[in-house]
Amino acid sequence: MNIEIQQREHVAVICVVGSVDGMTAPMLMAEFHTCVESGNVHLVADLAGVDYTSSVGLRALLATLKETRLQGGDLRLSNVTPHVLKVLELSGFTSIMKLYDDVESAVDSYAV
Amino acid sequence: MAGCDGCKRFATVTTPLPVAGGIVLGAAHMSDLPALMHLVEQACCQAGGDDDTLFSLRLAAEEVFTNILEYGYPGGAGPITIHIDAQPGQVRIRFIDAAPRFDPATVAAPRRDAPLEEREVGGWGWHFVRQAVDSVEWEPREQGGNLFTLVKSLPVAGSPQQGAGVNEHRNSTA
Repeated sequence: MNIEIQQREHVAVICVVGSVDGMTAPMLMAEFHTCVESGNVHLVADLAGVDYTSSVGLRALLATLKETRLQGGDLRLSNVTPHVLKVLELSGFTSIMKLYDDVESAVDSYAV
Repeated sequence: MAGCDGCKRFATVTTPLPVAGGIVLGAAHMSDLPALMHLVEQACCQAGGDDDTLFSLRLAAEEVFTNILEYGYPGGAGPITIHIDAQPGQVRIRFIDAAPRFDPATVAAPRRDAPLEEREVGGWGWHFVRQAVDSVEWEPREQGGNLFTLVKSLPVAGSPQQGAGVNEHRNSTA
């Protein structure tokens, strides 16, 4: 898994490439947590490069979602691929998270 | 039927069907997950599965493996034997552990419509397994431990494909 973080003014974009599974999810969780700890509570996870996630990926999303919203922020997703979207739908995460077609739309959504 | 990425990765595999693979892990750990995923990909390819089928098999296999490690073995490690059989049109994965007896049919799926504040981390694993494969069977072993058998039938060429490889409206465990 490869994770890169881009700062777009007051929004941190976390670009994830690879599979989110039991081996890699802790790395993703740590990156999310580091962002929040450093004061970034407006997050966008760009999942264009993620073709697979299991339930451990949901744990990382849920924990970060709660952490950011408690501080007035949010975690929003962009470029969700079909298999990952299916997991989000099966678990009802599509009703508690905001999903966008591309990174720009997700970043811009914080300005509204 | 379009081949999966795993097929391309294992294009040199020429073993005639059916094939069987397995791993005997005396002290299985999460670090063994890549080896399990490798076997699943090979079996999917040998059975003629596409990317949707591979996704479903990976999801089901990982969730069972993770569940055994996290809930069956305090400390996150213990013996697990995995057998994978691939035939044209079907993949069967069996997990044998030495953990306390556990019937996955007793696990209810969390509420899909729960608001964020009521959601807890975890709980989706067995629900995903039931959605990803066609049957999940559990047998307590006489000498202790559990046998979990997952069977995934592959779409027959020319039949309607299932959306993204998971079963939309099923929730059975046997």
